[in-house]
Amino acid sequence: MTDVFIVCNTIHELGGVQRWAQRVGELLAERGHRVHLVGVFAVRQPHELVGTGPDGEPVAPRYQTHVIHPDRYGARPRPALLSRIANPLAYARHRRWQAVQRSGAKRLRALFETASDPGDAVVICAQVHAMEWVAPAAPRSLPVIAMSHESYAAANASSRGRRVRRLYRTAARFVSLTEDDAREWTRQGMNNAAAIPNPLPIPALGGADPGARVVIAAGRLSQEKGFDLLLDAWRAASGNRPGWTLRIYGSGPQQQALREQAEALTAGAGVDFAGQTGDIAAALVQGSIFVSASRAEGFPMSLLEAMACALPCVAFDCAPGVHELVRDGVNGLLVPPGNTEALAAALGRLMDDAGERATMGKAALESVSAYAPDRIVERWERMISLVLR
Amino acid sequence: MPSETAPPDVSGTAPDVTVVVIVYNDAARLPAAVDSVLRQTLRNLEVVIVDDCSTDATERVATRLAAEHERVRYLRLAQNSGGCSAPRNAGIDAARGTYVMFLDSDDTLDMHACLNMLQAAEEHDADLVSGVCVRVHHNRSGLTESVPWWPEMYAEQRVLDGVSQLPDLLRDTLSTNKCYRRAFLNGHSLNGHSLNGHGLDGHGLDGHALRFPVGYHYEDLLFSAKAYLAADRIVLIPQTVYFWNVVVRAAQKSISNRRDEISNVRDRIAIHRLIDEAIAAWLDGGGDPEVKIAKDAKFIEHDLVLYLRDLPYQEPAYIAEFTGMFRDYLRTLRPEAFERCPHRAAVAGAYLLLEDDWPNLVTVCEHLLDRTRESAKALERTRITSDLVEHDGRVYWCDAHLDTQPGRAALDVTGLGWSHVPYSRANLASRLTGMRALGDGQVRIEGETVNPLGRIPRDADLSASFEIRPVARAVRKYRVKAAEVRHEGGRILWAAQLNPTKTVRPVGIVDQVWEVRLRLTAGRLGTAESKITALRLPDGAHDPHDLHDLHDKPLTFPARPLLTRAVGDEWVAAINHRGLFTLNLVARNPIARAVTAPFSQSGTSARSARVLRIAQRLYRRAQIVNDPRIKREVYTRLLTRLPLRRGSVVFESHMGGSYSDSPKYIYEALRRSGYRGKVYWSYAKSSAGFPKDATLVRRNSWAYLRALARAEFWVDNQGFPQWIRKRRVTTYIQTWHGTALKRMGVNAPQVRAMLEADRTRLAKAVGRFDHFLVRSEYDIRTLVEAFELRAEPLRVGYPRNDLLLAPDRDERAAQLRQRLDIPEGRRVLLYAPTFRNTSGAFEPGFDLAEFAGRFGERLLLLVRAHYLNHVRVPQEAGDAIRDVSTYPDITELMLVADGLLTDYSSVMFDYALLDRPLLFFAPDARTYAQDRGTYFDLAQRAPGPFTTGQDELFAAVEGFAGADAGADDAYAQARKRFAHEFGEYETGTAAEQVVARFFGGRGGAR
Repeated sequence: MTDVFIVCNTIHELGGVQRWAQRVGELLAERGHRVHLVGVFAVRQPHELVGTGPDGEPVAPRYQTHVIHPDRYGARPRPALLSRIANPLAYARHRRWQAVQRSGAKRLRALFETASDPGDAVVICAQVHAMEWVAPAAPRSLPVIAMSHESYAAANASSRGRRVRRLYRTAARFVSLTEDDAREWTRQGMNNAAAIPNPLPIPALGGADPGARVVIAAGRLSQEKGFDLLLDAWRAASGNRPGWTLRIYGSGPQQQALREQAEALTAGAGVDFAGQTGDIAAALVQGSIFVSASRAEGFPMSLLEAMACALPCVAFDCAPGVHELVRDGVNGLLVPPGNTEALAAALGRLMDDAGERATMGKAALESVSAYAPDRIVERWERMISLVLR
Repeated sequence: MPSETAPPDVSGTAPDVTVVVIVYNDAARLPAAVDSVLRQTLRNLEVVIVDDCSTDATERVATRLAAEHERVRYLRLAQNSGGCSAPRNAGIDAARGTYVMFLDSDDTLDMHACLNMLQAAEEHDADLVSGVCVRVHHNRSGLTESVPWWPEMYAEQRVLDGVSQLPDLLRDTLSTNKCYRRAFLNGHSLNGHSLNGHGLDGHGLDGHALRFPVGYHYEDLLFSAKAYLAADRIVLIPQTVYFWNVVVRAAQKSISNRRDEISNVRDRIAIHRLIDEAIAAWLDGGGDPEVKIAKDAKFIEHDLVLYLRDLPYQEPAYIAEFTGMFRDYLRTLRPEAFERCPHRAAVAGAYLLLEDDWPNLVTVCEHLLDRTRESAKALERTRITSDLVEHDGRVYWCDAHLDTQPGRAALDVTGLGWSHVPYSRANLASRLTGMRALGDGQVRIEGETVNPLGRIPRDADLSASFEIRPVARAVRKYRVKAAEVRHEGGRILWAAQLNPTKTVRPVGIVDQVWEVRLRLTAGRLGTAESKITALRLPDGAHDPHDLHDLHDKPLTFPARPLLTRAVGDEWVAAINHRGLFTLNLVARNPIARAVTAPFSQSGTSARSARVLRIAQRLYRRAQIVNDPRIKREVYTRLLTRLPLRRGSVVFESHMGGSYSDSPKYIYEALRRSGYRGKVYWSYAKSSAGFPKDATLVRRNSWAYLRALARAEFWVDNQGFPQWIRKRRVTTYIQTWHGTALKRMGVNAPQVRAMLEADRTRLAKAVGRFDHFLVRSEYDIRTLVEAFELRAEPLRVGYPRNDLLLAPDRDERAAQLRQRLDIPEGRRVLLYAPTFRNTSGAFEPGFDLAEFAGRFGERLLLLVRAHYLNHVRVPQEAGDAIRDVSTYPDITELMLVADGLLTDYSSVMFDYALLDRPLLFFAPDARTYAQDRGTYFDLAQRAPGPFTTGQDELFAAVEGFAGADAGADDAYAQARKRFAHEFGEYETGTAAEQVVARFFGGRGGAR
């Protein structure tokens, strides 16, 4: 029975990292560990955290929650080098911010000290920004497992790549979501890199009907998820295949633009914006193909969910997380990112062949067993006991 | 018996890992080594310090460490063993951990090493886990350079069931980057090949347990080999585990660096014989013979090479004994090792050593000393030290021994690529042969340069200059013209007169060692640069006025450093450890000696270390000036507010890569017009080849940023750095660099796949263009729309193509053919393939040698690779194929070519203006069009035969080779249509039109 502190930037939200933290927190707590979910900042409209009871009903979560700065909603960025020198005010603000960070670290350290056995406690730091609090707060005797929830490439496209290298270098382990990302980090000199994927969020029950003439896509309607590219590809794929529907679940900033783009398609292209859904499994089993046109992904949960419902996936090969899940020609089809002609061709190939949809769907269902929650939580327990040695 | 100062811990559970730290007289560095273990992320470990009976403060320091940390124990051997074996063995005996690792007191472990090792060992139930060892070279100025050991072997995690699965593992002979199961070292659970496991007491060298051999240097070699042979499961992990600190020019060389002592040679050979015995026993037990071959090949390419490098610099007695011992040992190696060893120069060396051919062996040694050999990926760039000979299309090291098959096999160095390296990239050995003081501070140096395969013809127009520059960082360099240079006896002889005192002004301290480079120009072949080497300083290297000691007194000259004579006052001619001829700045006067003392030592003494650290810190602080973030802010906030410099123009071509393309032709037209505004050219790496009458600024330098910020005009064909903001008062003329066949901008998958932020950045970058040169309405439909340009299209065509439409183009072509030395009576075909997704070597998809054999009589093929690729022209092609990839101006090549062969390169659109035959060869047509996407189907619209296979291509080339120049052919109509559709605005006056519009009327004003 170990004290596990999972530290995120915020916790009362439904972003990818928070969902992961809530899920893994639940799983570890079920195994009997004392789990603490720690948010560094508060959230303006907090989402209530719930656990799942034996029959799937919502119950109180098995983990404890803590917020370090209950009255703050985000970070103040460090002013740039020159303005620190040129603008004394910015510098003063920066110094004040540093004082806030120091007091936060102190509070976090006090929280760590509540562990029942100081020799049997670990910290999982899920985001690099939170590491600015964890690093000064965790004593040497308390091992820290650091995490990056995005691909190596995505981290390095922002300042996070540099911060990961700086702040995570001394963590006992540095966990990425895919083996490819861990390998890339190792190549860059992160000698503590390892990988544990996300657990499957829904039970792997299959259920999709390969005969249905529905293609499903799901995700936030933002530029990053590439629905504009998907609609381009759909125009070509649906052109001479009447009777097919593209059903898109989700909402987001591009909703209006995408609706307009869909309406501009020739009549009968059959695009259906189905909005957000509470029961993704029920939505997925309506279709026979899942498509993802994302421009960037960390570890794509939507693909994992679709595969758990036995849907073959067609996707842009935009990140290691995608090709770790989808093996081209086995349980789905991969195409070069941005190449909408190729995406249309891949969709067409599956739309024309119900037999292939069935075999690939079956293969997809089989390949998600590695992500079953008990398998993933076992890997976490092994890692926790390793860093405690 | 070792004495133990700390009582054995019996309370806790056994540690997972024991790290045995051995130390001898190293009190200063021991705490750092132990600390690197105590700071491990694995905590359940112990440290056993084994002291080889030190005589310094080691005992006190180690005892204190053991007292302070309960996980540290200290053992002291009763008497000094003089090596690493006895202490490590004592450490194994004292260890209580499940696994054992070794650490030397001057090295450190990576903080995750033990955890990584333990995890791999447990996960795979391994006897032996091995990780990456990084050699950290600490040089004189206190800077470090990290070199991983055998990185290619450790690229990925590998799990091996025994060494047979990876015989090359024997190359990694270190014992320290590894983690051993203790039971394995003590003879338990071993396989039956060489060590049979019974009993629990695996003490000493009783044949059952694995221990280091006492009484030898290079104990690691035997120990690691035996461990590999005995291990049932070996895991290699890609993580760095061990930092091996190598102090360059340490006051006292460490054991493994004392190669010049003959006893080390004896020890090394003896150890290798012991390893061979162990392998023989293992083979008797059913082992794989490949392991022995791999081990022998490693001996040739590693051990032999280590000694060969400085062999010519040794004493005659050493050389005699060395050659005897090595010859005897080399005879015991498996013949397959000579065949398979990838290091062909080492094999040639081994063979010449066996044949006792000293003169040719020396040239091998000279080649091995070249540093390029160790770092360069391109072998062809390594120093060529022999004149080489060619027989039946193969290249051999020398013309001796070629009458026997083994001789031919060993001396075949075709694979080094020296026969087809362009002259300007060749690294030709240039040796100092004479040196003489002439009085008045003048010295005459003479030498020779090899002429491999007679590359430099007898009638070549030779000229040479010498460049004197610091070995470390060439901030200052000086050039001296050669006094004479001539072709003689197959080689090139040269001489120069120089006055070091006057010519060379060193700064002092930072640049104490200077090397001399020869720049040898041979007519149209270009200029080759090489460092000057010397086997020994010539007998004449003394001062004629100082006759009392002819041989030992080196030639010296007064020196005048910029930091005054307080940092050095004399130049001494010398040969450095790389065999290079150098001029060393030395301090003779007492002040200079005192000032330079802290810098000249190895950096380990406390005082010099402090001085160096402060100097380094200051230097690093100063480097912030060149931080890109600082540059960016200063540029945006400060430089762009400076007043505009009226009439100033910044030119750039291919991101500073060369002086070429349309910007070049606009620049030339500008000069012809007598323009007097300030003109800059940007260069990326070297300013060679850029116009001397412009101000040259290095890309991204401060001068470059200042020029851009204040310029009235920017002229470029690709793009200035994306982050650089253009002022509204600046006019940006984007000439672009080719009509598009493959999809660009928003039509290209790569751009469509970009995230919002990157898209915005790209849009902003192209939004800077004010004017965009186009060749046709097609460009407007493709490029202008794809980049969503707001720039005004200039319908004038490309300035680079003016030459193709010039009225005197035929005369110019004739002149160029003469200058390029193109033989009469052969048609010239220019082969210009486009870029493929990977840079580096490019495979044309047809056999160049076969092409040469079939068309060599009638055609000359000029191969022009994309600037990110290069093509290997085989030796057999002879003079039928010429690599012109480094020729700066492709337009001139187009002019001399009678026809063009390409795949998808935009060259086709330009070349069509000449109305000469076009041939297409695209073996990857289908995949290329699919991956990149094209605006039209080239196969349908190609104005010439479009081929995808070699036979088809050769048939088309046959047609081209047979046709008369200028004859009307089947594609004449298609070609005209093609030229017009894609180049309707080309009139041959593009440069003039651009100059007239933007720079006209101001020429005389300033």
